[in-house]
Amino acid sequence: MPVSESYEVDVAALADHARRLSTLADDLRSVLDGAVSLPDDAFGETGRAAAVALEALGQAGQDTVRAGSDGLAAESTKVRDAATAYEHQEADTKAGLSEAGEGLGSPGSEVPSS
Amino acid sequence: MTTYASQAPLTGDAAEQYLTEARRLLGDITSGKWIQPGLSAGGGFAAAQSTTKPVDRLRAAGLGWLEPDFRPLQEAQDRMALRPGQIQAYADAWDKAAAKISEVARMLGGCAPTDTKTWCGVSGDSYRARAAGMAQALEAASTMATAKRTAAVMAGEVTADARRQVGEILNTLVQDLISYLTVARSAHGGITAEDMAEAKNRIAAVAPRVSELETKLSNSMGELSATQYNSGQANPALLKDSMIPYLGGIGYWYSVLAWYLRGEPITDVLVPNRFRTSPQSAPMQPLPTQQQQGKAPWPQRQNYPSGPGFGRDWHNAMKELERAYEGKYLVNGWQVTKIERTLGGTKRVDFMMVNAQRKEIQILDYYTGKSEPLSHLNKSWSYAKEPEIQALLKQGYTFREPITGFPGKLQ
Repeated sequence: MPVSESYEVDVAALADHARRLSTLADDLRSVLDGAVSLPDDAFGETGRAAAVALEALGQAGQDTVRAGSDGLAAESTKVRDAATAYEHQEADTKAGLSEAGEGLGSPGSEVPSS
Repeated sequence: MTTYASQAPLTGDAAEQYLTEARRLLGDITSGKWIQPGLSAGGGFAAAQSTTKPVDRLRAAGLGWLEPDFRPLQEAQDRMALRPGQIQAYADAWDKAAAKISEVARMLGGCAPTDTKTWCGVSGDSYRARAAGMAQALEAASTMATAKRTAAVMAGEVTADARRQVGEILNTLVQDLISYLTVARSAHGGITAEDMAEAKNRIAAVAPRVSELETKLSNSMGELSATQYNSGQANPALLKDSMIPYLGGIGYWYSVLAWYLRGEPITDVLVPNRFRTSPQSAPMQPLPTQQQQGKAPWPQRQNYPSGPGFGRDWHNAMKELERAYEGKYLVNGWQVTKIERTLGGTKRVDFMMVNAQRKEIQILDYYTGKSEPLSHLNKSWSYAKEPEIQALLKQGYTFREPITGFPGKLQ
């Protein structure tokens, strides 16, 4: 990521958002727990083809829900990784500034006598 | 061979298109245009719960000797026997699923921009665009879940209505037979051969009405299935092998949605001139429709010995599926014009589509072998010389470079 992007980021908010995405992924996956099959003869013999088609599409719908959950989990990981990267970058920057500050001497240190 | 490299990822416009398609499907189902005149939805499943069969009333009246004639009519009603509890459970499950998916979509759409508002720059913007697209795609998935719920309920209600009407006809007939034969018995001192013949004639006279209702129900259910499969404008040219079992409008869009939500590079169905390959995703469930309707299973290469058998069966299966799209328009302005047809000459093209606005012709020439030889590529170009293509070229059309290969690997 460009270095300039990190300066404005609220890392804690980003990490929270990653957790929220993970929760949403779990919520979505919970839909699969309530899945119900439609028997072939739900609409009688006359409507067998329609029942079979609906059941097939029910399976496809479950696949899509699973994909949505996977997608949200993947985005959660990406956002969390971004937050971690920004956090490290911030820490590195602070450490760099601290080192630079030490080179100048701490505010309370005595000024070496010449 | 044309190679269409992966281009920019799909935008929110694409996700919006999914939502539009899903709403179209829902509209096609709820409009009830698939229901044949004379039948209706909206009456609930109550008619399916009636317990006393007309044939039982006939027997109870001592007219069991008419059962052989009456039985075919009773069987027609029996074929309309619903399983209301199962239908309701299925409908309720998808109702809840639709609500939950929509809730997740709304929460995602709401929190992504606010939670990440300090995340500026390309990465943040890219994420928010992706989150907005996913929210719309999830709304589309929610809409399709509602469509399934609606289709199940309406199909049940239409079946219940047909069963009720057949029941009324048969109960009226039983009452008529009882009355007639009671009077006849009094008048003739017993049931004569003429009385028996008349009773049988009365049963036969009712049969066409029962048959007509069953045909209407069957046609309605067929139309509903077709609506599910044909609604929207899927693009069979962009099929992956894994989605072939789901060929059809809703199945197609489900597949596309799944790719989109997983963040996979996606075959772009919305932008002309982009035919892109997609990586294999997790295989979907096999198609129960094919298995349970006694059709041959979709040809799998591993089940064939070396030789032409696999290619022949695969082409035939593909033709059967794609024929449903012949004459239809795709989302990107192309019209499918030929599926496994000649072009005025001797050659048969696997798939041809035409874009009248752009004045372009695109053919697909499937190749099921392992390594496509130059001769196959040359064959795909040779379709340009066929009479019907030549006629289009004279009208100013352009013959685009043929797309050859195997679905999912078309290049």
